[in-house]
Amino acid sequence: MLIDVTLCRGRIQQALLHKEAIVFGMTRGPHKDNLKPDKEQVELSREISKLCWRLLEGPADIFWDDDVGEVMARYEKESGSRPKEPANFWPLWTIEDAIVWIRKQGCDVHAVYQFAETGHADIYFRLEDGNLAFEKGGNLLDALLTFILKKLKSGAECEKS
Amino acid sequence: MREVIKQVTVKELYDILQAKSKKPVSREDFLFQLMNSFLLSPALELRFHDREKANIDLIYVLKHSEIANALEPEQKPPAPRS
Repeated sequence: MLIDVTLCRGRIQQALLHKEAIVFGMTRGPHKDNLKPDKEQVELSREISKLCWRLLEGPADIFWDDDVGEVMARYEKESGSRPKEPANFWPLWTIEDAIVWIRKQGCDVHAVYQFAETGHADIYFRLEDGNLAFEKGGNLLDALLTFILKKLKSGAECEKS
Repeated sequence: MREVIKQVTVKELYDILQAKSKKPVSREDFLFQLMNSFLLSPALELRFHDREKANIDLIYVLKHSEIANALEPEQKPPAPRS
């Protein structure tokens, strides 16, 4: 489970009722170009999902598994008696998602350097106040997600103080 | 496969599930599981697939506002004044 439901119940309900878009939960199935995310992306997406969510516009498919006695995510492909690929599983960002989110926050990608040999990426972001911030990652998406995570964490700290 | 879609409330979906499930499930557990599904895929609607029908994909659609309503704490009637 990603979030302690009992603690978040009120917050979830509030968001549901007000159809808040970016309050909690950024979740989607793996993008077709991103079917095998690396461990780093999975970890970053998981961390982000604890801080920021977004309601999906499309439906989430579920079913009742009588063997397990639980509601489960419905699987897209089924082989034999057991499903294999989840139709809606959890939070994996795509590069497009990340850029859209960053722009919504009033920031933008200023310059990107991707190194052919290692594949790692250096990104300069233009912040809301016009200053530049630097982030690096094992690849483009890692760097974007690291920036998003840091931004969310700093936002959460500002709210606390 | 024919797709049949029906919009339901949480209560209706719970009753449907109770009727078809071999194991009894409490309403609180069911709500918790719906919440969990929502947390994993916070979509505007949850589509509950009834997998029993061979040639029909029977889909019960649960709007996210429905889930929100179901989370409202039950209103207790006011205590009678003595």
